[in-house]
Amino acid sequence: MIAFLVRRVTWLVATLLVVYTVTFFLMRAVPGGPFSSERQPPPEIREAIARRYKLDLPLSQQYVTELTRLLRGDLGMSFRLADYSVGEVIAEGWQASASLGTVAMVLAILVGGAAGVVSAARPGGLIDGAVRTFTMVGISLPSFALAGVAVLLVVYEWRLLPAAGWGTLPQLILPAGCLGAVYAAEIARLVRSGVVEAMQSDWVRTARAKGASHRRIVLHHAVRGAVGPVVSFLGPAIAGILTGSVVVEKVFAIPGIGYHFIEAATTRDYTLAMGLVLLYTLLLGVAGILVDLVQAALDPRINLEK
Amino acid sequence: MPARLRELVPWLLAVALLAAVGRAFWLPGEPPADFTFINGTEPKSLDPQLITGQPEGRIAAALFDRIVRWHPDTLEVMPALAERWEVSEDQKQYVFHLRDAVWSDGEPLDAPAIVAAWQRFLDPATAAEYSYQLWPVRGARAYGVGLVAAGEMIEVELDEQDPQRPFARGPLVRGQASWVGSIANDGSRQASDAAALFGGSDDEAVLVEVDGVLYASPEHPLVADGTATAARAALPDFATRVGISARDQRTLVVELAEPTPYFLHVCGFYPLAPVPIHVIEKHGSPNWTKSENIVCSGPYRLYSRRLRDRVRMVRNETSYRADEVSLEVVDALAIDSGATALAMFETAAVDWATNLPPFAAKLFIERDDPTLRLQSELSIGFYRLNTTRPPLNDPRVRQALSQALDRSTIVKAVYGPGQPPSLSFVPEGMETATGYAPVQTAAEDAEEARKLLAAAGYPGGEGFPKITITFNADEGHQMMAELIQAQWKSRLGIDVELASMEWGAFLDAQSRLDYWVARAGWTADYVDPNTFLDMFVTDGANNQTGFSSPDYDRLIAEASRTPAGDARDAVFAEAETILMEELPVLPLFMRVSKNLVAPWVTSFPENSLDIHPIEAIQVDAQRQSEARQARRLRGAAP
Amino acid sequence: MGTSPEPMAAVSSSMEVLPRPRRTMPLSGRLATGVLAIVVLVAVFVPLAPLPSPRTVDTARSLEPPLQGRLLEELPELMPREGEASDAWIERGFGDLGLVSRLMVQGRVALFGRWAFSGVLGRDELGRDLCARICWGARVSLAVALVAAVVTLLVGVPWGAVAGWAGGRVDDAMMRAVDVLNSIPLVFLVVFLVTVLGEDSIRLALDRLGIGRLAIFFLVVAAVSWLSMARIVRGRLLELRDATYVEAARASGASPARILLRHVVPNLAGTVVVTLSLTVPRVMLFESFLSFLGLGVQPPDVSWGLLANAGLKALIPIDPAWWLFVFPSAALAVTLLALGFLGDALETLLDPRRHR
Repeated sequence: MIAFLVRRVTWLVATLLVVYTVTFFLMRAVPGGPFSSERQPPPEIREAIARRYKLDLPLSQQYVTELTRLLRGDLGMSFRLADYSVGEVIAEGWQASASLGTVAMVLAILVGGAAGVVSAARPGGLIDGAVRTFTMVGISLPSFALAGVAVLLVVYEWRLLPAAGWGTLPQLILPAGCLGAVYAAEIARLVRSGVVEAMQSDWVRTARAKGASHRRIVLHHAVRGAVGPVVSFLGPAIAGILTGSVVVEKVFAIPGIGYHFIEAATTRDYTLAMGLVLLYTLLLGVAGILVDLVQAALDPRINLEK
Repeated sequence: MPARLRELVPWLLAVALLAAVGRAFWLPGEPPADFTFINGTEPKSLDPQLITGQPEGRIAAALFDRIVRWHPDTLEVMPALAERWEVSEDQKQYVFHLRDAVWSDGEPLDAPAIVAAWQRFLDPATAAEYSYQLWPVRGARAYGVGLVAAGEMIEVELDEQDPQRPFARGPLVRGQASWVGSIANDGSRQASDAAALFGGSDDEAVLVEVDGVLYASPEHPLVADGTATAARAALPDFATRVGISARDQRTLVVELAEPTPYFLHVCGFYPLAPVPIHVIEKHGSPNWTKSENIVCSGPYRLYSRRLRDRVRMVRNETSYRADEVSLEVVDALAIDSGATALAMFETAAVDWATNLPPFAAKLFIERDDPTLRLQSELSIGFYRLNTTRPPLNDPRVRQALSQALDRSTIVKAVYGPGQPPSLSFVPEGMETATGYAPVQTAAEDAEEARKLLAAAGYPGGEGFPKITITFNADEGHQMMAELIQAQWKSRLGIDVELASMEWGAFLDAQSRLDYWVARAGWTADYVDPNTFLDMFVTDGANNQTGFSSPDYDRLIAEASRTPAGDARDAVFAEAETILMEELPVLPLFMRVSKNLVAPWVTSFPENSLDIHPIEAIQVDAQRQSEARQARRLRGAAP
Repeated sequence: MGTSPEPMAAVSSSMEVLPRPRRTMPLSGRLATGVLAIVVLVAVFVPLAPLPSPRTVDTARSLEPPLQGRLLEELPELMPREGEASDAWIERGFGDLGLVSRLMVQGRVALFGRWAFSGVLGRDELGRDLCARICWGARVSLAVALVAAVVTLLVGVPWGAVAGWAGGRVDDAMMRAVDVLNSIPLVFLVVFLVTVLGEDSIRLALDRLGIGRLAIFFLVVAAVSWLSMARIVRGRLLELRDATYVEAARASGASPARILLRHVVPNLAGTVVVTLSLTVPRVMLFESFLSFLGLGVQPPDVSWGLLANAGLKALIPIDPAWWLFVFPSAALAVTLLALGFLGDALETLLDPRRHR
């Protein structure tokens, strides 16, 4: 296992370096910069700005300077959010995104898992058909459509929940629901297929032959089979949900980092964009490693060293 | 995987999950504010000297007082930090008599403090984007550019740090620069005309000699071996060469290079608000803006700030205006989605929204909805024409393009009734505000336009190259471009393409003159025609059309030397006539500011710069809380 | 777009004596195919249909609700004006069309003249007919999906196959490349590609090569959609390589080509088809996500994502223009649903080990 960890961590570091390089040149190559503005200051001021933020140095020099700074753990100051360092921006946004993401994911697992199990218990039955249709619809709708309809109904028509914002429990429900809905649908499908497959495996047939009740079989044996695919789906999904719930954050004005992602790219906030890209890559990598570890823990047949 | 570890994993997962969920529900709720408004975007900074946007300006104006301020309704200059002032006969010297004001930490806000603040504003190291607003002051531009030449009085800031004030400027050495230049490896000196020494890439090679001592930036090799003294910057001597000084604690003297009639007005503009240098010196920039460090002078002070959520301000008891303020706690929300803003407004979660979806705007206007406050702004929407690209280099073609447009139909279709078309570049509202009557370009005349186009060599549009209208991705701009495209096609017979670009790329393309026709807008910085007309001097930073007319330049320069009055208006009129005949820009419409204001807001000042000072707003708290409970804006009992 | 790694299958050795998998498609699959066929037919033949132009602006009829006014009427925009060249008229009303579409439009003029079903689904804020826009938008949305599918097939399948078959170092390197590409947040890539390729100079150069703005957009989307196919194909190939019957074939001396053709390709085909049927909906959703961010298909081109987003903006609390949102979203949802059911059905047919 140590060898496995060492190998994966090395690859992660190498990936981070490549991602840094590609993102660096990608951003610099795009026209416009962090100080593009509709009101152009006189050229002398623009020069002063370039000098102050070291934007007038040759690209290769900027590349090296930034890299050394990053290796020291200093992500720099944000250009667009001038009062904050990139670390502060991420720290502040992380709380909201993590909260939202966690609740959404938990809801998704609970609702989706339950739906999947129930529908797989009697494949082809009425409940199964209903669940399958709902999940299909769930993954066929763009998330902004779902959010838009949700706001129209829940906020305007029924006045049940607040429209947007962050800080109280009612403000958490609708965004978490919208975010989790799509994942719930996917999880339901995965769980269902995993359980159905497990139900056809040898040991389930043995258990049935031994006279175990249907419910016991489903809950004890089949669910085990479902956990695997869900876990491997969860890994990248978690990273995605934590950083990328852009639509929900924008519609419901949640101060998370998903929105920062888009803003940083479109406003050419070099430092913040770089910080977020590296964060995302790191999260993906770590999530991948953790998922592999958990899968190995749950399934003794998996050999990590291969 | 070791068996023991394997057994632990499900338990670890469960614990981690529980912890995550528990943490997730620990939400940072806050009691509601007396007044909540949607500011449109997360402010770039709370430092008034580093900002240029309207959302930032709203907050900065509440937190930091200026020498003078603008009347909430008429925009006339009123006393603020300065109780009264005298202007010399030649209109070049202003003497401000300051009141006994303090910062929110008790420190005096006196003339020396203002001088220090404005020095920071002009200092090239601060890189304040709006610092050119102070350039009418004698010597300010030279200071802002930061070049020093031999034979001039300069100040050299040494690279020394005071542990008590770690971010203060280093000690200053003042004297005459006897030599400026660079020294090669072999020790030979190479003098240069004027150079900057303040730590940028090529500035590091520059040395300055004052009173026999060599100064260079700390990275210079000669500093390491002791031949030169480390210095952070060398600038023109502020004390003698820049016209800002403190005659005594309560008297500020400002000397201008030219009689600039609008200067007093500019003094009320938020970037010129004094900042607390004593706090900046202690905590540095930007840390001084953090809520635990910041010190304010305005009717409000900062209470807390949560990124992309809200800026919370509370009444500042140390301000001389504290008694006028009725709203104790004010929240500025950073929501930029129009749809979300509308949702919050309609559910009474906010009292004022500054942005709304264009769809809703039209609907509200058509229904005469009382919550939508429209105010014509000193702001113009227009198209830039790239006069360096044929056939747009021919003024007849540009005239044709302008005269072929039915502006009122287009504007009405895009923005609904209530947004007036404009045939002049300076908005008509300027006449009410200053008495200056804007000059208009030729009115709509399709026949005449066709004749002009034929005269230019493209009868019926034949042979006219395909040009492109460029705009940043936005529905309103898209619609307008499509309608204009259709009109040019049907009336002139020319083919026009549309290009929607992303904001950064769009601005970049315009500044590089990499476009044919580009959508643009401009809002007045201060109430004077100059803010619109001086854009188009040759090589002006905001010209971006390639337009260059020596007559125009001469007129604009003359206007800045002429005292306010009919003579000055006449000069501007002459300049605008040239502009409206040459047409490097196509004026389209005057922008109307749209604000959604809740019915329980009893006092909401409106003016043509779309400035609504928070300290002048009042609400009926009873009605407000009822509406908030019901989550309903409309149908709240009167 | 994330990846969806294969579920861990508990393979039972007795699987091979289970009853044969279905040979006919279940009802849901057949219905889905029918729906998709209709969508494709609409997209292909819309230039022939008696519908208004999707681009003509008529501000007088702004925001007309569905089924208002005369539903069958003569519209001036449907024939060229006096002295207007046919090509110019087509471009004004329908955009830059290929030869076949042009012929169809002219055929429609011959058949129906100026008559058209107008305002059936309502009109947007510029007075453009929504039904026409949805039908023409189908072309773009389906084209995006098609281009993505083709690129996925041409790039993703060989990439994964080579990696899986070769194994070892080659496999490692190729898969790491996929991993890295996956790690670069899509947004930056898309913003970069959209802005750089939208730059005047580059755009003109590409225009000369015949690649218009829309094509650029397709390429952008395709460039990021082949990754998960590569990974899935590689995984499958690894399994196949070690499968018993392949070993048996090898042991009995069959040539690699024969092994490939008889054993690998048929089994791979199933996985590829099924994954493709999952990729296409993802790509269409991605397109609408890009439209949400403002980076998607740009007007005057129209796609379902663009229409759905524009419709979303019309869902204001007072007097919402609901038709602008409901109909495009329904079109999108129905198509995606059909694709989903089709994918399910195909999986049942072609991938016997993956019972659903």
